[in-house]
Amino acid sequence: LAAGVLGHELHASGVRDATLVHFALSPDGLDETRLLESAYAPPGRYVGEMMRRLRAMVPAASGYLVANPYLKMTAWLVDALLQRGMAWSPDGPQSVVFVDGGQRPLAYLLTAGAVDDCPPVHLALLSCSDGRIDQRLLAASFGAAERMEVAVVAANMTVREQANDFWALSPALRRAAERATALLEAQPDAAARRRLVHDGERTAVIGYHAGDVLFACQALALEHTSFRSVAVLAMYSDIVAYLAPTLTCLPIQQPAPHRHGYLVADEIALLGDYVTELESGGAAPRLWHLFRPFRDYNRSRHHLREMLAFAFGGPGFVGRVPMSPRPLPRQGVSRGRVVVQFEGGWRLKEFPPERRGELLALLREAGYDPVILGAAEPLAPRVPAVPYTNLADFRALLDSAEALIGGDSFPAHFSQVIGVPTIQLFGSTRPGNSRGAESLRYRYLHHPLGCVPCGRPTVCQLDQGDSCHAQASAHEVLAALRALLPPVARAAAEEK
Amino acid sequence: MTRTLYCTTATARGLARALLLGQELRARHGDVDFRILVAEHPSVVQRLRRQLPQQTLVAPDEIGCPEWLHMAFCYDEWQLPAALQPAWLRALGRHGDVIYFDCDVAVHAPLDEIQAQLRDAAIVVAAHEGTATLARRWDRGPFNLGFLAIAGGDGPQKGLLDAFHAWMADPDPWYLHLSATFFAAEVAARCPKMAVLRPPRHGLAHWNAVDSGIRLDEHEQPHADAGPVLFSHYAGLLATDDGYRSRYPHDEAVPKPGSSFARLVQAYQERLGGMSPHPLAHQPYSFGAYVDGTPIAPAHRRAFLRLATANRRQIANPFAARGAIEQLCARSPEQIERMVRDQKLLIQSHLLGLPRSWFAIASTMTRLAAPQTHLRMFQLAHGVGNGWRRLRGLLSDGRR
Repeated sequence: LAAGVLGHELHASGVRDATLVHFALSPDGLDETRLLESAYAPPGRYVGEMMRRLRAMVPAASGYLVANPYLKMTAWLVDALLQRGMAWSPDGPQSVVFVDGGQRPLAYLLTAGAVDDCPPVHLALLSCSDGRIDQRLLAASFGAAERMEVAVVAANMTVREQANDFWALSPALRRAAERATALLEAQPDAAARRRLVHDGERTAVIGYHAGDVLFACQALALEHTSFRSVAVLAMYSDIVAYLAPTLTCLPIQQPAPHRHGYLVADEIALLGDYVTELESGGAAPRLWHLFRPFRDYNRSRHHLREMLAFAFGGPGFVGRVPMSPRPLPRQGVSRGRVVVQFEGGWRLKEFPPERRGELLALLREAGYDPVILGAAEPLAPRVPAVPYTNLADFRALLDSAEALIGGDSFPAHFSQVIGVPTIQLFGSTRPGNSRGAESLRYRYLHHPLGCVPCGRPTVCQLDQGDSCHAQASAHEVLAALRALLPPVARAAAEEK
Repeated sequence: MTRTLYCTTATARGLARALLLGQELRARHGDVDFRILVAEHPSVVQRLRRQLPQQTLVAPDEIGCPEWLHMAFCYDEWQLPAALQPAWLRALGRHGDVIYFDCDVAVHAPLDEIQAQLRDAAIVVAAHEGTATLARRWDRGPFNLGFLAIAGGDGPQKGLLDAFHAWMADPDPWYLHLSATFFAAEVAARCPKMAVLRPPRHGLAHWNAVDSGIRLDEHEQPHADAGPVLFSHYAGLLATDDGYRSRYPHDEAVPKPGSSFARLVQAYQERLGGMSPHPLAHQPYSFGAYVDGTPIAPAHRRAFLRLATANRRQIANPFAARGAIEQLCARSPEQIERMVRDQKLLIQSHLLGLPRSWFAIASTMTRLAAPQTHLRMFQLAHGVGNGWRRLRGLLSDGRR
């Protein structure tokens, strides 16, 4: 038996013939036991990843037991689970869910064959909070599954929920597990179920926003997963069509959450509603995977693209440079035109309002022709403003400009991806989570403060102000732009 | 002609034995290439080299064994030389045939016949034999790894040494005591051409000397019926006031005072005593303590060994990770179980004490409130207690 447990506290197992491997979530470096800390990955995804790694580390084992990462367990309980696992026979059920008296899943056990047949992302469908649901899912996926109760009675066997880095598990995850179970149970025979698990149609329900959709498209292009379609809000479907034309896009006719006062408390439940809407709209039955951050993504220093790639079933990588569309020769570029975009979802992420007028004035003074993407700037009424409507219009605007200055938001990410010279301005968010790859056409500006990322949307914790001190000054932005793109007057002189 | 290298492994404290072995080999074979792997920290080996410039001393980090530091933590002073043996032989095997002896071996005659056997066989081993109990025989395997002769080159012996080294570098902690058995199984599986030497001529030792019929000639050299004894082991023998005893509990026969083997042991001890002591002979084992000087408890070594390989690798230098390893031990299920047991005993003692004190309080109160009744109440309680005891006895009899 090979067993894996997620947690930072090592302990030596006292169970003979069982190899116990401790795994840990890692916010930066990765190795065989340090797993990528991905805000998008539910606990079940880590169950799958630990199963896969245990299979590679201990290939001779006949069974693989993984403790529920959602729970934090004592050494005693882990050993108790190992002892129960040792009583399991490879000739018995293909999978076992160990539960406590309250039917809370403590651990999952799969045979070597089941681990081989199962893509790691499939186990992301486990609810990790209800043993009965998980047993049904495993039975539907691999054949007979057993539920074994482990007595958790003594004080030293306490199990603390949500202790492993505060996963906030939505009840909608159980609904997603039940939906997948129903689909698997509806298959005519075991072979069809196995085919569905191994290579069936899976849809990544991304939903929103534009930046997440962009990174998801990149992540799916980097990993060879069984996801052949994505579900996003209809307003973002053009991003999928442009960046990942091979993927089928299922558009959802809903407004964007967290915009214009539309607040959402349970984002996973909202994704579940999207699935219901798509199914009632005639979408064929398939395995739906819900991807929204379960935790604060700022805890991890990994790029959001890599976090998503891990959640989609990849093993986890540090800082890969994604394939970008080759920059096309641009025609109709207006000399000196620079698109400037200030908005970014929440105030501390945006360029400070009091510096915007200064920046626009400096740009004009230096010979550039700024155009604002978004609302007009009251401090610079003469600068034209173009609202974002759709990707085609935005691309047309980008095609007419020589460069883009933008915040930690979709326009700057997209501009960098398609090779337009881009200056990206970071405030209260960590650049490492979303910045582009260093190149001659891209620079990001940020003052590294100890409080970044603060996770606060509107009020700075340093001075209770409404702007972030980590943002670059207007002069720094201009200097960076000059390095990237000489001003018109100088360029004309150089041409002469 | 193939070159033959002689080698051994010793800690600093066992270095005198290794030097004596070198002397004896040179006495039989002239100026042989004799190398000593010193199972100590490389800095200690560096100092020893300066003090013993005429000896070829090798440190654990020089034998192509990247796991040496972790092995030095996993194994104790007695186990480490044996654990490093396969990597050591593999490193020397690149230069020619290798004949390995434990440092507490005495060579009595030229070893030409072993060299001759290496021309045909990939490996020459010596059988244990003797009067050990079945369990002990099972543990220590059929061959005594205190002697090994390996043909040089890339024959099957290299695969054997690779496999044995992999076992020693990353052992299953629950089956560590079966290392020699594992080795024997691997030899049988991998080496079609092997030669087995048998005691008493080869590998005479206290466990096989009884009834072996050895006798000493006029030069005090041992002879068996089949010819002169080539080499003998003095491993695991501890001198006592009335002779010798084995270091291992339940071990087999020890040499009787006055027997030929006892005289051999005595002569060996005298020769060892005649060796000029080197300055580091009495210094503490360099892998016996953490970097802060705290001695490493056997439980710490066991706990570290019981970690999964991938988790062990995360602790780059266990000698500098005392806190982590102490926590590891404190978190071990055995430790927690012990703690729980102690707590249970404490609670039990409290529970057992409570009723008595309640009875005492009740008795005092009754005596004060109703002076004539307390004795009757006590008798009643006593009667109920006795009745309950009898009932329990009857119930347990019934179960039996």
